Amino acid sequence: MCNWKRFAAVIIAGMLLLTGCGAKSSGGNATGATEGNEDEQMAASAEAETGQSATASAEDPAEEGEKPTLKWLSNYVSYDPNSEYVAGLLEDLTGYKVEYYMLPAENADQRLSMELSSGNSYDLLKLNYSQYSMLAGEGALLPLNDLLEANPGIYETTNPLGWYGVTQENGDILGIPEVATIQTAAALGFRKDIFDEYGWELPETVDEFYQLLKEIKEKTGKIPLTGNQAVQVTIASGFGFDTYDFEINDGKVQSYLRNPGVKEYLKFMNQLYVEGLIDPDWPVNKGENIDQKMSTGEAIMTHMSWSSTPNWTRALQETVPDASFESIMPLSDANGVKHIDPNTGSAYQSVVCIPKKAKENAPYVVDMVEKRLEKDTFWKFNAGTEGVHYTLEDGIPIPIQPKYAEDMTNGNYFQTSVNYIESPITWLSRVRKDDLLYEAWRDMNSKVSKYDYTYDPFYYASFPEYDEYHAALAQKVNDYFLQVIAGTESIDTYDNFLASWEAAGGLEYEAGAQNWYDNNQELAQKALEAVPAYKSLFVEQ
Amino acid sequence: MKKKIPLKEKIFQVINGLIFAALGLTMLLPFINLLAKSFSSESSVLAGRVGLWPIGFQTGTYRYVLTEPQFIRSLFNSILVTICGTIIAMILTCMVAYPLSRGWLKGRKIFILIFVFVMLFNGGMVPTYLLINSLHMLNTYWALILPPAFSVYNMILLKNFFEELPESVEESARLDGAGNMDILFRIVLPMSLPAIATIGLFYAVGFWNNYMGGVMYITDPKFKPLQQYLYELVTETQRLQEDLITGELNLDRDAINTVPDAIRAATIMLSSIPIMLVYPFLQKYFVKGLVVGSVKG
Amino acid sequence: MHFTRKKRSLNTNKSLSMYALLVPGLIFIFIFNYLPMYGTLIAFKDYNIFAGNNPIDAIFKSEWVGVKYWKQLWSESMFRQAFRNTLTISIMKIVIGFPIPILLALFINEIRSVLYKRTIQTVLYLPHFMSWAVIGSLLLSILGTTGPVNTVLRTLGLNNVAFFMDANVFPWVLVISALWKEAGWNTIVYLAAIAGVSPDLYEAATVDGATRIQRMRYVTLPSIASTIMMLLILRLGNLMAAGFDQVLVMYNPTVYSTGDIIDTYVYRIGLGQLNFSLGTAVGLFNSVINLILVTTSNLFSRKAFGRSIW
Repeated sequence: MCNWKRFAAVIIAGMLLLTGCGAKSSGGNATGATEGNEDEQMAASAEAETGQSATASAEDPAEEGEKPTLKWLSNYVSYDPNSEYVAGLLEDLTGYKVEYYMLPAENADQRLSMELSSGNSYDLLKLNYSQYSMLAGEGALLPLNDLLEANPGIYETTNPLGWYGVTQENGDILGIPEVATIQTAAALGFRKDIFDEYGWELPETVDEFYQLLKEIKEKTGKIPLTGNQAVQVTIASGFGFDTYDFEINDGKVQSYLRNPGVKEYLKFMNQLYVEGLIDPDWPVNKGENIDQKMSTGEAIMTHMSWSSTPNWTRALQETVPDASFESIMPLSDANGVKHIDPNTGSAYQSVVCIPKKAKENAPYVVDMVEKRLEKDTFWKFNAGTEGVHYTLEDGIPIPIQPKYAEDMTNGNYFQTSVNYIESPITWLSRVRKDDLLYEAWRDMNSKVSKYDYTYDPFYYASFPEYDEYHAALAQKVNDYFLQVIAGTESIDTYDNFLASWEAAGGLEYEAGAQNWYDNNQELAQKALEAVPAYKSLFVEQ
Repeated sequence: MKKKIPLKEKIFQVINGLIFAALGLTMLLPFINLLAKSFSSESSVLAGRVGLWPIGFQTGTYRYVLTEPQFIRSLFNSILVTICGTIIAMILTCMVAYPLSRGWLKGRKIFILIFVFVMLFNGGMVPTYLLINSLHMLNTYWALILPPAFSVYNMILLKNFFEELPESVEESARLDGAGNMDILFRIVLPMSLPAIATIGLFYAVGFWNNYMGGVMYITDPKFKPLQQYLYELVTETQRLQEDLITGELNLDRDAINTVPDAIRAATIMLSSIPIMLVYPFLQKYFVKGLVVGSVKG
Repeated sequence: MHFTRKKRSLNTNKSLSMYALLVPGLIFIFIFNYLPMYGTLIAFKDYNIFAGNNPIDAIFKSEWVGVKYWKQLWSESMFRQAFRNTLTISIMKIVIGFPIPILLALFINEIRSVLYKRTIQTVLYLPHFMSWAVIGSLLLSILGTTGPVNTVLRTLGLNNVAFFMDANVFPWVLVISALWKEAGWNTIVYLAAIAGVSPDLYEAATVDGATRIQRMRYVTLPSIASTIMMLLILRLGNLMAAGFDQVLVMYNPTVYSTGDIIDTYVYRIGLGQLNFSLGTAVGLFNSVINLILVTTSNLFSRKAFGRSIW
């Protein structure tokens, strides 16, 4: 009998605990995403708000008294945006309270499609470009044309080229693009101290590069070049191709895989691998391993981004006080041309869009987007407050630490687009927070700016075949190239590989690109001519 | 009176102990390395100089992690979910395992098959998500507690343990007029403490490690479980390092803000310690002789 | 006669409360497991989650494609290779990873010092809590060409072993690292089963002059035999899971020929797509194979040892 009572006590205790959880959860959930599915509720709330939004969309909703709390869904970040300094700051500056929700790191696309198709209500989605394309293709997004007309500040402050990628064939604009500021992020980096010690010259051609690798291996016994890329861009340039997916010859769009230089490149890489001139763990390396090899000094060169050099340098300086890094520009091909890709990232950092089902709050969302793009606000949440987070030197914000790091580190999460007039300057506060970082960034970008180069005509491109095939095809290419480099596959199988690439969607991918190019020549031309935001900064000097 | 231990036995004990010490060492070293890293300066971690002892000793990493609001919140979530979940799961599992362990129960086979079937087949991601959605459990603790609250695997394990109990005790109790419930509470459960402890541990670890729950049902950072936080921290940093190498700079994610290795190590340590402590605590239920004692008492 | 009749009436009474105990569990699996099973329809359809008013409606509005996905998969030589690898790796993991925890449990049980025993148990179970992402990068730096293992091999005058690039070696890296991670954890069940063995049996055996090995062989092992059989059946029912997380972290294109498993292959070809249908089709394929294995091994176990799950 005694046990029965104890059992009942355990159950009751459990229930109490759970109601505890329940109370907490429902508290947190009162404004959460769960109610969305209830159709009646949806209808009721829509009804309640239509009257309001009908008038609101006509004029500036900001004038209309009470603003709704907006629900924002973005991709994953490791911190809770709701508890960030910038979240509170923006609430004060724009008058909009925003609740931030996020997709998981894994299965994000699946999760997004489930959330939206089952009608869960979010007012604003901040997505990557392929997620945006998926939703746009399914007709799940609200056209924003009228709202953008009503809030002209958005057009005025954002990069005009970005709008091509979010405009449908029928003219509907389904998203607000966040377009990157063009700059160079990565190049082949080398240990300057060691090069100086042995008096090595920077290589210009494939032959010189080969000799250099041999020299490094002989003299230092270290790994001359580490990495894990299928296409090592510095070397690839020496064989006449770059990292762009497509090449255009007399208006005909072709995959770079058809460039005869690719085969030569793979042969060369395989030779380097066999002769032990590149990292024997090339196909296996993960970012972490490369990091480790560079910061322990095990390897001399690698393709690096300027943002990784400060950590490497500091780690090396513990044992080699004068260790430092600099960058090498891509090798010249047989015609003496360097194939420089000035910006290896994609044009669209993110796209802000509104689900069709969130129509009633849409005017407020667009109004908030406009407010966040206003010059003062944009400065306040990207660089901070003058005198508190930064000081101005020659118009450039220099961070005041540690206040800047405490408050502003995650500021860019809250961007709804980029004010393309201000962002090249505000963004500099991020590189200026660390001298080594700034040095590395300057080194790379000033070197790149000395050369003439063309941009990827497909920089602003968007076509359905890209979304469907790009990721899986790129994986296929990556796999095959690494197999050839490591000697698991022979280069003689290249034609077979190309055929299987075509069969796996490569042909459709090319055709889609051709189709886009034919219809968007003007945009492609503009992309080719794009002026890098930072180039002028260095050319003047 | 103390028994004299024969020499042969002594030799066996020493050799056996040494072999396990060696095995244990291979399993302990990665943790010691991680612990040392978490107390070391970032540059010495990166330079690969940290082995089993911290270099450039500091505790700032722990201060950083313990003041990170998302970490604290996720830690709280996971502890809450693990405790509530394990209690519910144990009650549910015992209730099913006990009847199914009695060979005389009619239709037992069919019931077992009904359960085994769901161990092998599932409806998949979409319908399960829709179910949780229509139960209004998205972004609640229930979404983390209920879906994993019954494991057929664990139920079968427990059932097997129940079947192993000597029948004589139960028979004599029945002759004394004891019913099913009396037998469950006064004989089966007390005699199965090692099994209960094991299954409880499995559930607790299962809840603690359950990270798909967060991936599938949570978008509100307030409810993010610790494992999801940790997984995302670790893999996202690795992905960022990958992007840095390929030069895929994404200003939105701000590659400059990668989480330093030492902080990652501290986060991993802090988020595994609570669950690692569960087993040593449960070990007292694995002692021999307990079974007999509890029945007598 | 009298006795059996009494037993039967007792039986119905007895059964009622037993069935009552089953009800919550049955309701639970009905709601959380059986209700969502309509989702397997997706495997036979070209599912577009946005095709209808909601995702369920979309299932019915999506086009039937029959067994298209299985045909498509089987026609790919890469899939057949991944299928073979899945079976190979899984069987290797069972052959090596299944008996060793039993041995460990038997020998841990022989440790006399209670404190040492508990410490060892706890230490052995630690790696279970390390994620593959962490272990993977650790292994890469230990077993890489410049890592400590190859450095030792070189100083001994031996050749480098490309643990992650030699297609013959790589499956062993998978199997042994999985063993390292999970062996200690898997001893727990056996230790619990051993704890249930009556000490009287050991005493009797010792009095009869049994050696240690004899005690293990004739007392401990038989008393955990049913646990072993049951775990083996359950493990076989999970054969198609060869360790997605682990392989994804550790493999690379040079070892696809022996290291690529179904889950990783499907992951790669599905990149950038929503592929709910393909995923469900593969899941169903795995489930059917697992079902066949569980039922046959259960039947075999019942016929051969008189022990079975049902």
